[in-house]
Amino acid sequence: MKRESSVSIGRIVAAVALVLSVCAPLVPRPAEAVAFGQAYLRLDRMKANTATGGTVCAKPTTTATEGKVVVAFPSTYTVNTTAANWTTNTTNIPAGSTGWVGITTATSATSPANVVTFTSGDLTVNTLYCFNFSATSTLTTAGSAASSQQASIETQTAASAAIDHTDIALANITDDQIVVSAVVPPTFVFTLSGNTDTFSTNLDPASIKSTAGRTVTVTTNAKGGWIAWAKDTQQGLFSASANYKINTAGTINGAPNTLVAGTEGYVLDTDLTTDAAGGCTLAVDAEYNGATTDAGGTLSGTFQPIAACTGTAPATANGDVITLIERAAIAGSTPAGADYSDTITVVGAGNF
Amino acid sequence: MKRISLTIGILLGLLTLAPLTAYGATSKPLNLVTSPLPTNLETLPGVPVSTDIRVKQNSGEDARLKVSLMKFGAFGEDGRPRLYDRGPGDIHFDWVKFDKSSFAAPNNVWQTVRMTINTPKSAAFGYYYAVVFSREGDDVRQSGNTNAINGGSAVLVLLNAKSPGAKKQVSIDSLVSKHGVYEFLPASFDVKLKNTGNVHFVPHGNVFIMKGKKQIAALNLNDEQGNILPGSKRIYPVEWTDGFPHYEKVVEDGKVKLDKNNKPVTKLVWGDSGSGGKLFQPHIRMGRYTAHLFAVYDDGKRDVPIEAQVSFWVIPWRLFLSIIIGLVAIFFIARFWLRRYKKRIMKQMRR
Repeated sequence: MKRESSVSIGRIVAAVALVLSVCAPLVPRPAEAVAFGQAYLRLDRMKANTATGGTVCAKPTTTATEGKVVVAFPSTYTVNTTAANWTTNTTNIPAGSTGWVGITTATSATSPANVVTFTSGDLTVNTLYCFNFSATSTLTTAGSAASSQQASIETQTAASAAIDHTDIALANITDDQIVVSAVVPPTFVFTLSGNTDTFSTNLDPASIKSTAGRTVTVTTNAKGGWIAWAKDTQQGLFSASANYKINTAGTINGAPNTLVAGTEGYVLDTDLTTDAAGGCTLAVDAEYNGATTDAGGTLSGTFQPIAACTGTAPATANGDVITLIERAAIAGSTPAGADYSDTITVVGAGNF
Repeated sequence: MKRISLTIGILLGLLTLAPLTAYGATSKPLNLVTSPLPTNLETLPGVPVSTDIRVKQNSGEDARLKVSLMKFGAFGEDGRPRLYDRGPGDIHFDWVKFDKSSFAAPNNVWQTVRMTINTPKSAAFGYYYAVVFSREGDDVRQSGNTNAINGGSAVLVLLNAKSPGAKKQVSIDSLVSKHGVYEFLPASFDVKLKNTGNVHFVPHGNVFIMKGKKQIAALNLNDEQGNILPGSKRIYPVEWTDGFPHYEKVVEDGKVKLDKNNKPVTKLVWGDSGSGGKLFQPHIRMGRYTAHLFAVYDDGKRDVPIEAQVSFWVIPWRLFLSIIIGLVAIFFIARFWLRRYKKRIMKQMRR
């Protein structure tokens, strides 16, 4: 009698399959890296055949103890194999990133593999780490413009087991810089705060009266400084209704005149309001540099210098200000009139 | 009916007067920007020459500007000009034409005015124009008791009509050091040149600072490219600042601080000039130095050199005094301790 097997072939196959499926994960196999959450390699220069440094950034996704970061550059690039040249720092890294923990000067730089290995500290998952590598005698971009050149960033354990890995595409262009050129023209800016100036109260034989004053502001890049002049149409305050003129006081003699209450007189006072920062030193002409509220210079029918800014080149000015104030005194016998007025011309220019 | 007509008449009269009153009370600011700065032109007699002058008014509203022509000469010895109205013999005013002498100037828009000088064949040597821009109407007498202030900006134009008789000649009037002895830099020099020719020009050169036969520094003469007019003298200031320590002008609230005599207040900076006060390769200056002026001008045939020199001392006497006092103090302290030590030793030996 033929004895039949109690275990069918089908059952044997099923059993083997079950054993394999249970044991398979226990069999050692090569590690397979996972992609970084975020990774990029930003070179300082994109121009072809140009020495460059760069910034390496990566956000780990795998929990492991990193010991190295390995950056592989495209085969078209030239990697300097002196590892000591590949110095690193973590200054001015992109906003939101953290300085790469434990990053040091490269421990190896190989060519033609174009792989540079840096020591890394243990990184925290989901944190973006960055570091910069030097541009001095390290990396030279491809000899000609090209796109989609493959590079990669990989973290490894101290025993060189891959942890996270991301491939990156780099591109080169023929030129990556814009030359910016500009012309600063020589200019003279003359600002007068107003084209009228009124005596704030009626003229009075008992006291000297002054106008509110007008400012002249000068800004110029003239290397030799600037000057301002003034001239007067009638050398006095004239009233058409009274047909009378209050004459200017004194003569042009390099010293101001002091008005006396009760004695007719009319002068122009120039005050140094701001000697702005700049190369030149502002000074009021002695004739018009009245030291008191009663003093000023004689008004002339020809242009007289009232202030100048001079000095060693570059004697520029950036907002020098002088204030022009007209002062007048009348006698008790000065004819009445509501229209005593004058016209003063003030001109400024850069020195020659 | 008469009363109504009178009322209407008065009202109309008031309305008519109102703008005049307002005009008298309103003051308009003036802002004029001109370019270039003093400009040099050269031409041959009989050959016209032109230059573009740019102007804009930035007073807040549109305006009309006008161009007027004046002349200028040297005022003082530091490159300041003085404006003059046309004189009786100034026919060179007639040679000048502007493509527009009065024009609309929208606010903050550059306008270009072309100045053409049609020099006759008889023109020779130098002519010095001032082109003055001002706002139309600002020179009109104001109503009431208000003064009119008429502002203007002048562009200086120096014309050299190159004729055979042109003579470029300059002499050194003086080379002066502002002080014979400086405690610290800057050392300041005034180079006074005299134009003895009949045309203006821009002198160039250097002031070499020598210590013995060794050159310490080379300073540029006339960095501002300033002209010297014929028959005039001009002082070109030169400063040697590169020393440790050195004085710098005090700037407060963006302006140079002045003393009661309107002179800039200075402070001692313990750093080389331009070092920002850092002690970086300090250039300590002391001893006797010589400033050697070497300038060159082209007289039309060749380069003519002119030279002069002046000596000066840099003696940081307060620094020396402090060091000497310190050394003397150390000497006396050391002597005192030595004597005390000696006494103690003697005492111990006696025991």
